[in-house]
Amino acid sequence: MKTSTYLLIAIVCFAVSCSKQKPVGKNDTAVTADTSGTSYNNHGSIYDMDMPFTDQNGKPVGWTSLKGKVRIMAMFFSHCPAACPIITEDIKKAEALLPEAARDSIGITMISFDSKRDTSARLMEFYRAHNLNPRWELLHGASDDVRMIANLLNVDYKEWPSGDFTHQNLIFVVDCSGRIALRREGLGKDPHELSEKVLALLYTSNSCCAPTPARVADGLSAAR
Amino acid sequence: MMSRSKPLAAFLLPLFCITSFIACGKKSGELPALTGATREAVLTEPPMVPARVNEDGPQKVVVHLEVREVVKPLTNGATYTYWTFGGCVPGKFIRVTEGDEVEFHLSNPSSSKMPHSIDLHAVSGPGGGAEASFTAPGHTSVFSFRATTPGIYVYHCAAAPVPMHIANGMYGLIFVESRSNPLPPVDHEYYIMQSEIYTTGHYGDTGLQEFSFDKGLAEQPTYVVFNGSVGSTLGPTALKAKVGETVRLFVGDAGPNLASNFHIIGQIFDNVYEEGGTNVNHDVSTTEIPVGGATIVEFKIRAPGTYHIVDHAIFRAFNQGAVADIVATGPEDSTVYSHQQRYENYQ
Amino acid sequence: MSHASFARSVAVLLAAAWFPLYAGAQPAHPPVHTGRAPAGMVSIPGGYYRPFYITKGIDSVKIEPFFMDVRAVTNKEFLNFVTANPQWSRSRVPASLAERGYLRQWKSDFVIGGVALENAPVVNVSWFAAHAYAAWVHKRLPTIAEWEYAALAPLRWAATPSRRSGTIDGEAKRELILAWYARPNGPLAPAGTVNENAYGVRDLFGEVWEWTQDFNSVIIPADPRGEANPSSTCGAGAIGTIDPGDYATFMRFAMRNSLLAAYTVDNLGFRCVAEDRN
Repeated sequence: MKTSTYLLIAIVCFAVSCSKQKPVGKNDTAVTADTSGTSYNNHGSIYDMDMPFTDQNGKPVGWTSLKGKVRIMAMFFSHCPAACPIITEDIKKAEALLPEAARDSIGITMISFDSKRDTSARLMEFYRAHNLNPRWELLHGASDDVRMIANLLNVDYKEWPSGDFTHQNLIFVVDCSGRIALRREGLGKDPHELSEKVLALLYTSNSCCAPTPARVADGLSAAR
Repeated sequence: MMSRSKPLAAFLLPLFCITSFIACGKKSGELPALTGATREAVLTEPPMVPARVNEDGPQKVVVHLEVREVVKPLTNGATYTYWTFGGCVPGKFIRVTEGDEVEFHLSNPSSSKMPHSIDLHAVSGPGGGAEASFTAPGHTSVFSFRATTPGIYVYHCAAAPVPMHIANGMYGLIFVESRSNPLPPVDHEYYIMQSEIYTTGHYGDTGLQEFSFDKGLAEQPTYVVFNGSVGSTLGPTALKAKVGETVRLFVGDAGPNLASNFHIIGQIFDNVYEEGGTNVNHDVSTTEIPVGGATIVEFKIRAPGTYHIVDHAIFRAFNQGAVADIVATGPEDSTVYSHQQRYENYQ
Repeated sequence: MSHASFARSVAVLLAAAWFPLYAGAQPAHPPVHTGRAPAGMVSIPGGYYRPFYITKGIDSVKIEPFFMDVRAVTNKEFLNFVTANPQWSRSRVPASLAERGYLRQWKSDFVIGGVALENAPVVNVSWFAAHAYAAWVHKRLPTIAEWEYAALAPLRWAATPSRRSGTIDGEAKRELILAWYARPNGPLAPAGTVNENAYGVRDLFGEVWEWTQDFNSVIIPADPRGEANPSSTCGAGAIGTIDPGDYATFMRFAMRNSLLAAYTVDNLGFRCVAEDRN
C-alpha cells in the first residue's frame, strides 16, 4: 500500500513535470508568447486587486475571497448564443472527469462580461438551465470591475451597442494563490487537459494546496 | 524531402513513419524525429550566407532575431528610417535544414516605436508565425515551427500597416536546405534582395527621406534597390569571385510591389531553382522573381571583370538604383571573351 | 555619402525628435474650447464616431460630451499619486499589475531624477497603474472611441513671423502624424508642447502612445464563436477598415493590440477624461 502510494506520487510528479508549461520569463525584454499566438503574463496573482461581485444567489463575493482554492475560471455572458454555452459544457466535462474528492475541493468561477443584463436572477436561470451545482459561482459586477478581471486574466472583449459581446474563448485553471496555471483558448477541446491540470495542482507539493493523505489517496483513483 | 520527387517520397514515407515510430513511439506524422541536439543559429548580414551545418539529423535550432528601427544611408546625402530584422536590410539570413525544429525568439527593444512581428514563408501554419510573434516594444515573443519543406523563403513583418513595415525594410530570407538532397558545394554563396523605397522626396534628394503612402499605393517607387540602399553592393562592397569559381546567389524580392526581372549583365545562369522550388532550369539569362518570392541561381565565372546585377526592367537599374556588382579577378581568356578587337570607321 | 553628411543627417533627426514635431505646430494660447471644463481639461462636444474597424450593422458610435486632459499625465503628477499611494511605487507594485520596467525612467521609488523631466509625460506605466491614477484624480481613462474621436479634430498652426495661424487637416495632417510614427523614439519633450488640435487637446500625436480604457477590445471578427484573436496579420489588419489608407490609425490600433494590461513601455503614457454631466 505504502509502496503504491509512493509510486503514485512519483507517477503524478512525472506527469506534472511533463505537462509543465515553459516558464514565462519576466524581465525587461522577456514576456513569452505561447504557440497559439496569444502572449500573456502568468506571473503574480490575479488576486492582487480586490473588486466586489455578486453571485447567482445574490450573495456578495469579494474577488480576493476566491483565494485558497484551485479554480477553473472563465468569462462569459448569459445571453451568449454560441460560445459561452460551449465553454460551460467544456468545464462541466472536465469537472466530471475529476474524482469526487477533487471535485469537492475546487471552485468553478464564471465571471459575466454583461454588467447590464446579468443580474443574480438571470445568472440563476443560467445556472438552472445548465444544470450546475453549488461549486459553480456565477459572478456579476460593475463594468469597470469586470474590465479589471478581464485585464488580470488577459481576456480581450468588446461590447457592442446591441449589448452583446465579442470575446476570446478562454478557460483558466488557477492555483490557490491566484497564479494562472493553464490558459486555454478555444472551444470543445479535450477536457482532460483541464482536469489533469487541476489534479496536478491538487496533488503536488509545489502548489500552495499542500497534499493531504486523503488527497493523495484520491489521486490514486484519479490516476487509474 | 517529400515534395522533391514522388517515387523517392513513396519510398521514404514509410521509412520515416517506421523510424519515427521506433524513435519516439508516438504519432509524429511525416516528420522525422529530432536528434535531441540543440544549436544556436548563426545569422549573417547581407551579402553573406551562413555555412551549411552538417548534423546527424533534425535538431532544435534556436534563432534570436532583434527588430531595430535605425536611420541609415539611402543614397549619397540621403538617409531613411529603416525598420529592420537585425539592424540590416535585408534582415539577417537564416539557414536551417529540413526537419529542424526552429525555436524563434523575436525581440522588439524598448527603443522601438512600433510593435512588430514576423511571417516566415517557411512556416506551415496560419499567419506564418505572425500572430505568435506580434510583439510590443520592450518585449520578446517565442514560438516554434518545424521546417517541413525545403526551399528558399522570404520572411517579413506582418504588423499593420503591413505595406509600410515591408517598405521600410522588414524582410529577409530563410533557407531550408534539403536533408537528403543538399545543394552541391560552390566557391561562393551570397545573399541579395531587391526592394522598392517610396519617399515623399525625389530620387537623389538629400537629408532624411520620409515614407510616401501615395507613391506606394500608386506603385511608383522613388528607388528600386538591392540590399536596401543605392550602391549597397558596389565598389568596395561589391561581391567578389575569381575566374573559374562557381557562385550561388540566394535572391529574394521583397517588393512591396514590383517583381524582379533578375539578370546579371554578361552572365548566364547555369542553374535556376525556379521560385525556390524543385524545378531546376538551366542556361537562363533573366529569371523573374515574384514579390514575396525567392530563387537560387548558380553560375561559373568564365572571364574577369565587373558584372552588373540588375533588374532588367531597365529604368529601375538606370534611374532608380537597381544595380549591384560582382567583381571577378583572374586571367583573361580571349577564347571566352575577347574584349574589343578593332574599332573602325563605318560609312 | 560622406561620414560628415551622414552624421549631420543623424543630428538633424535627433533634433527633430527632440523639438516639437513641426516648429509651426506649437500650441496657440490660450485654447478656446475650455468652456466649463475643469482646470487642465477641455470640453469635447458630443457627436458620432465612425469606428475604424467596420462591424456589420454598426456605422457609428454615439459619443457623449466629455472633458479631456489637455496633455498627457506627467512624471511629476504621477509622483504625487505614487507618494499618496505607495502601494504603486516601483518596489511595491505586484508583478501581476506592472512589469519590471515600471517607472524605470525614475531614479528610485519616489525620486524622478535621472533623464526624465518632471514635466514630461510619464511612461512605463501599466494599464492598471494608469487606471488607478485616473480613479485617484476622480477621472477615468478615455475609451478608444473617445480618444480617436477627439483626435479627428484638425491641428492648429500657431502664428509665426512668417505665416498666419491656421489648421492642418486631411492629407497634410495624416502625413505629419505618420512622419512622427515612422521615427524611432527620441527624448521626451515636456507634455503639452506639440500639436494642439481644434479642441485645444495637445500632443495626442508627437509625444507618446497613450493607454485607453478598453485597449484590449480590438477584436476583428465580430462572431463570438470565431477564434477572437486580436490580429494584425496581413489579412485581418487590412480588411474591413473605413480607410485602409489611414496608416497612422492602423498603427495606433496595432500598438493597442500588442499590449497586455501589465505591460510597461518606454513610449506609452496616458491622459484622463471625465464625464461632462452638464
